[in-house]
Amino acid sequence: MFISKRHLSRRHLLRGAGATISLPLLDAMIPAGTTLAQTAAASNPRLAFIYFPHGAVMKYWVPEQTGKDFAFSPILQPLESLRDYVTVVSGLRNKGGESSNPHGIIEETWLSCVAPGDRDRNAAGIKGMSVDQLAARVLGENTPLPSLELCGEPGGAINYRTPQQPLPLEGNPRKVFYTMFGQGDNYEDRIAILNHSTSLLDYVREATASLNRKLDATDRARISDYLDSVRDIENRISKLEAGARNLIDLPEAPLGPPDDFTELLDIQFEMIALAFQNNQTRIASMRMIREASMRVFSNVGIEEAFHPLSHHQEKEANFQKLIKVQAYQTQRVAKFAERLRSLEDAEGNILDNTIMLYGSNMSNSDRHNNDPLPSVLIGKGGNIKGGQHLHYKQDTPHANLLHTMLEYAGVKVDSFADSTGPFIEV
Amino acid sequence: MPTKKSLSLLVSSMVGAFVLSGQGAQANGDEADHSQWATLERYCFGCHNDEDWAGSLALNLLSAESVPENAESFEKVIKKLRGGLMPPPGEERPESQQLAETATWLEMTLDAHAAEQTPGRVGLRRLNRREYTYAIRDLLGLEIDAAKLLPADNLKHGFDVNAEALQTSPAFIDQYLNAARTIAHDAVGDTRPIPVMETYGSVADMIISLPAGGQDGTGSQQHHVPGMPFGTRGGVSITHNFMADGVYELDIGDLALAREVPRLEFAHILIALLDGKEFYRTTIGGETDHKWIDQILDDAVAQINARLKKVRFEASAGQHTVSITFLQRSMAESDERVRSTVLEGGQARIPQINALQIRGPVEVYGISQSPSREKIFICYPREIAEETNCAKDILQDLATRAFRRPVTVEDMQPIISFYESSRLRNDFEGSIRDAISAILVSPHFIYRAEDGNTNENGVYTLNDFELASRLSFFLWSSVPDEQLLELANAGKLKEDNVLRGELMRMLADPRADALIKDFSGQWLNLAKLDEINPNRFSFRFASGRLDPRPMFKEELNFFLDSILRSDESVVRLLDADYTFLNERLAMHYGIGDIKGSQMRRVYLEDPNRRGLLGKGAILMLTANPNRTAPVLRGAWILEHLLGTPPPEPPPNVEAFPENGAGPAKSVRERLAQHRANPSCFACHGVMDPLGLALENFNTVGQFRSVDPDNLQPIDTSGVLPDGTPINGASDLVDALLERKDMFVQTMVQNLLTYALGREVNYSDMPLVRKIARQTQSEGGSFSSMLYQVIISDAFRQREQLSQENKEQQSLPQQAAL
Repeated sequence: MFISKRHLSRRHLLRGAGATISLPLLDAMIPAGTTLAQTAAASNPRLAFIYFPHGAVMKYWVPEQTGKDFAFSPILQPLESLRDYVTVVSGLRNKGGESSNPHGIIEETWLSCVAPGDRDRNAAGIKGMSVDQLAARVLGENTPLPSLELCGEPGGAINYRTPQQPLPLEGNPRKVFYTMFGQGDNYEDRIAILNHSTSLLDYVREATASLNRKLDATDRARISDYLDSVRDIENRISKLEAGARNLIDLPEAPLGPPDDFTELLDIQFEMIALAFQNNQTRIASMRMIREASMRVFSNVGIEEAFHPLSHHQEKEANFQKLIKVQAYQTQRVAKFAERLRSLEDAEGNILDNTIMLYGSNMSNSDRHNNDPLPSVLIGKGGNIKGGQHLHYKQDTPHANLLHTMLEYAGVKVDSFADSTGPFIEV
Repeated sequence: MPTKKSLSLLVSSMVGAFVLSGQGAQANGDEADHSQWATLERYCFGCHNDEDWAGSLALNLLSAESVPENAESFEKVIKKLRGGLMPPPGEERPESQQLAETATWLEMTLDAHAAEQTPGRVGLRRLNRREYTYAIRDLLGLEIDAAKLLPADNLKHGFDVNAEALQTSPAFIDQYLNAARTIAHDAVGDTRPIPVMETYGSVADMIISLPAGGQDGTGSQQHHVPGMPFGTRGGVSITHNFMADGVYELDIGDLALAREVPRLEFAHILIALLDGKEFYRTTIGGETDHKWIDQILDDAVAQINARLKKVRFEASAGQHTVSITFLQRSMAESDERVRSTVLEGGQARIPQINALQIRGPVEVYGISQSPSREKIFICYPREIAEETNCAKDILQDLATRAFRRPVTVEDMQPIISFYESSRLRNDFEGSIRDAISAILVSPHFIYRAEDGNTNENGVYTLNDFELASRLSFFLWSSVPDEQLLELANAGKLKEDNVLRGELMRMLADPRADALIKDFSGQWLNLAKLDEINPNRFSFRFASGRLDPRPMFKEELNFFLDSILRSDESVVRLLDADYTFLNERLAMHYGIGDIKGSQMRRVYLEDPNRRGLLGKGAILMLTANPNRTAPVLRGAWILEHLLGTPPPEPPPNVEAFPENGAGPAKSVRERLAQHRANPSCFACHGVMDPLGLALENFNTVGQFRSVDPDNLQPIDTSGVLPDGTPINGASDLVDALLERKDMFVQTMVQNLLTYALGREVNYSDMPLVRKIARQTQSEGGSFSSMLYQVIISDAFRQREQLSQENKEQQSLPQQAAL
C-alpha cells in the first residue's frame, strides 16, 4: 500500500528562542513510497480533549480501587461499557492553573499548564502553547484542518495556537461542517467555491502588502499574524480540493445550533467523529460547558444554575445534585466514544486509534483548586493499555499526562511545561 | 508635587456642578498635603505598611510628595476611598467628609501632574462582528445574521472593541471568506437562482403539531404580537432574502394531528402576509374539521394540513418580512368564557405556529430594484461596451465607502482585475458580485488602519478621514456616511464646531442606536441576562415561553434612549421616575391600566422602581435563576455604577448556604451567617447592604414584601460604610444620587474604553475626571459627555510605541472576571 506524502516545509518545524522540542518522527518526513507497516508510525492517532467546568465531586469521581479491577465510580459509570478503553488517571496537579481569579484562567491553562503571566511573549515561542496545538504542528500537516475547536457554550478559549493567540471555540455545528468540508452541496459546487476562495486569498495577500506600507512596526506584526492565518487557509483549501472528490457520502450540513443542549453536544461530537472518520483533522478539542456557566440542567432534574450549585459547601445534598450533572457530562462523552468505536478505521476502529482526554482543570469547585484533577483517558491510540485506574502520588504534574498523550501520538518533545516525563504505566 | 499656582488654576477651571467637598484642601498647598497625608497615615498605615503589605501596598514607604510618581497606586487608593471600601467596615474610619477631602486632594494632586499625559496607543484594530454587521447594512442595505456567518469576538473587560483582544485565526479568515461570498450573493441577487428551501424554526416542528408549548400558561399566542396587523393574535414573523423577482412557495408547520384535536375545536382564521400585506387566508379547525378528524383520522389530518402547504406567492428581490398570524377569535364560544387569571391561560385551545419554510423561486421574472441593488448599481450598462466603465464606477464607489477614504489606483487595480477575470466566466452582475466579495475580505475594509507616521514626540494627529472613521465607529459602530467623508475631504472635520454639529447629527440618526444599545449593554454587562434562565418552578409565569427577558431588554433600551438622546443629565439614569411598559410587562410589574402590546412611557408611582435599579433587566442579570443574590447585586452596583469593583473572592471561600433541611431561612439570614467571618466582612460589609436594599425585588424583577422561603416580611434595612442608614430601593437610589460624581465618572471611564478601543488605565484617570467634571458643569447630558470624549487628544491622536513600551504592551494581561 502506497501513500503519497508531501514534503514537510521548514515553516512547520517548531521554532523559536529556546525551543525545547526535538524533531519527532514526523509523519510527513517518512519518504513517500515507504509502506506504512514498515515504519514506527504505523497508526494514525487522533487526539481529543474534552473539557468540563467546575471540576468534579472527587469522592464520586475517583474509583475506589486502583489497577485493573476497579469499580466504576458514580460519575464515571456511563463509561463502563467501554472499560477496556478507559484509563482513569488520578492524583494530578496543575500548578500553572492556580490563581486567585479562578474561573478567569482555569480553562485556558488546562492544556498549557503555564500561567498567563509566564507565557512566551514572542509569537514564535512555545511556552504557553496548548498541547493540542503542539501536536497539530506535527499531526496537522497532512490533514485539511490542523485541528478543530468546538464548544457547547461559546466564549473564552482553551487552545493556544501561539502563546499569545487563543483559538475561538465554535458553537455552531453548521459552521463546523462548512469549515471541515467547505461550502457547497456537491463536488462541482465545492470546487467552484474553493477556487473562488483561492482567488480571494490572492487578492487579500496583495491588498495586505499595500496596507502594510503605511503601518508602523507593531501593527505590521499584527498583520503578519493575519497573513499566517491566510496561509493556513490556503493550505487547507488545497487539501480540500485534493480530497473533494472523496466526499460523496457526506451527510447534509446541520442547520445550526439546535435549541436542545443535549442535542447540540451530541451534534458537535458527531462533527468530531465525522472529521476523524474523513481524516479532515486528527486533533479536536471540545469544551462542553464553560466555566461559571449559569446553565440549568432541568433535563436531569436539577433546577439550580450550575455555577452556584458547584459551590457545594461540602454538603451531601449538593453532591447528589452535582453528580447528576457530572454523570450527564460523562454520558455525552461515552456516547461519543461509542460512536468512535463503531467507526471502522484502516486498522480496527477509530477509538482504537484515539487518545481522548476527558477532564477538567478544577478539582473541588467549592474551593477552586486544581489538585487533584479529574482526568480520564479514553481510547487505545498509540497502544494505550486501557482498562485500569492509575493513582499517582501528590503533586505529580498534570503536564505529565499531556506529555504522555503527545508521546503516544508519536509527537516527541523533550519537555512540556512542568512535566517530569510521560507516564510509562499508561 | 503641585504648586499653589497649578492647584488654583485647576480649581478655577472646575466650574459649576462639581462640588469640592474638601474646601480646606486647597487653602495652602504644603499644609494641605501634610494634613491629608496624616489622614492616610492614621487610618491606612496600620495594614498598608512594609511589614504587612496588605494589598501589596506599603503606604508608609511613600510620602505626600511622591503621590504623582506613584499614580498607579494612588488611583487605586482613590477608588477604595471613594467606594467606601476602605478603611474596611468594622475598622476605625474618619468622618465621610474627611475621607472625601483626602480623595479629592489625591485626585487634584494627580490631575495637576497630568499635563504631560499622552494620548495612548490604539493598535491596528479589525472590525468586530457587530461593526461588520452594521457596516454591511450601511454599505449594501442588507441585514445579516452575523452569528450564523462569523466567529464570536473575544471580550476584554466586557467590551468587544478592544484592539488587542480582536485576534484573527484561521477559523476567522475562513468564516470571513464564506461570509463575503454569501453577502455579495445576497446583495446582488441572482438572475438565475437555484431554488432553495429555507426553514425558520425547527424542521421537526414542520410535522409535529403539539410541541411542549401546549401547556396552560406557557404560550405566547393569546396576545397581539408587535408588528402584526391589529386584530390579530399570536403568530410569527421572519425576514427572508428573496434572490429574484418571482414566485415562491410557503409551507407552514402542521397544525392538525390525528387523535389530538383540542386546538382545533374552534375555527381559526390563519392569514399570511408579505411586508404586512395579506396574500393568503384559510380556516383551520371548527366543527367540520373537528368531526372530520374524529371520523377519518389520518386522511383528514393530511387534508387539513395541506391547506398550509405550497402556498404560492409573488415577491420581488431583496429582504421582505413574511408573517403568519391568526385573526382574533371571539372567546365567547369557547369553554373558557372568563379569561383565566393565569397569564395567557386557555392556551391549550389555541393553535400555534412553530415553524415555516420558504421555497423558491419556483418561477423567475427577473430582478427589480432592491435596497441593496440601489446602493450597488449606481449605473447600469445598456450595452457591453459600457460595462467596464460602469463596473469601475460601481466598484470605486463601493470601495471608497468600504475603505472609508479616497481610493488609489493601487487599491482599485486588483479589484478591477478581479472583476475582469470573473467576467470571462460570468455575466456582468455575477462579476460585480465577485468583485464585491473581494472588497468585503479586503484588509482595507476589515482593518481600521491609521497612519504609522508620527511627529518627534511619537504622537500622530489623525487625518480627517481617520477621524471620520473613529467618529462613525464610536457613534454608529459602522462606516462613515457620505456627509462625514465629504467633510473629511474638505478638511473641515477637525474644527471643533463642525465636530459638535456632526456629533449632534449623528446622535439623532437611527444608526446611533448602536451606541445607546451596545455601549450601554457592555457597560452594564447586559450579556449576563442571557445566562439567567428563570427557574420554571419558582417563576411559572415568568419562564419558558413567558420568559420576560425580551420585554426587559426592550424596556431598558427605551429607557436608556429616552435619557441618552435628550438634554437630560445622565444622572437621571439613576432616579428617573418613569419607564416604558406594555400590557404584559405592566402586569408582570403589578402596574395596572396599561393595554396593548406597544411599549409606551409610563409614570412610576412607586419610588422604589425609579431608575436603572428598578428595571427587570438589571434586577435579573444580578440574580440567580432560582433566588435573589444580594451580593451579586451589591457587587454589580459597586462595579458598574460606582466604578469601584470589589476584589475577587479569595480561594477556599465558604459559599452561600442554600436552604436545606430544617426551617427555611431568608436570603438575608443566610447571608448574615456567611458575613460573620471577619475576613468576609471587609467586602461583604460594603456589598451586602446595597444588595439587600433591593430584596423587595425577586429574581424576575417583581416587587414582593414577603420572603417566599420563610414567609416573613422582607427586611431591606442596612447601613452603608459611611454610616448612612438605608431601607429599601428608594433609599438606595437616594444614596447613589449622593454619589453621582462617581456614577458620572464611571460612565465616562466606560465610554472612553468603548470610544478608544483600548483599556483605560490609571494614567487616563485625570482625563476621565476632566471629562466627568466638564460634562456635569454643562448640565450632564450624554451629548456633552460624548463631545468631551471626541475633542480629547486621546480620541484625536495616536501614540507610536517606543521600543521599551512595545515590550510592555505585549505583556499578556490577565483576564479579569
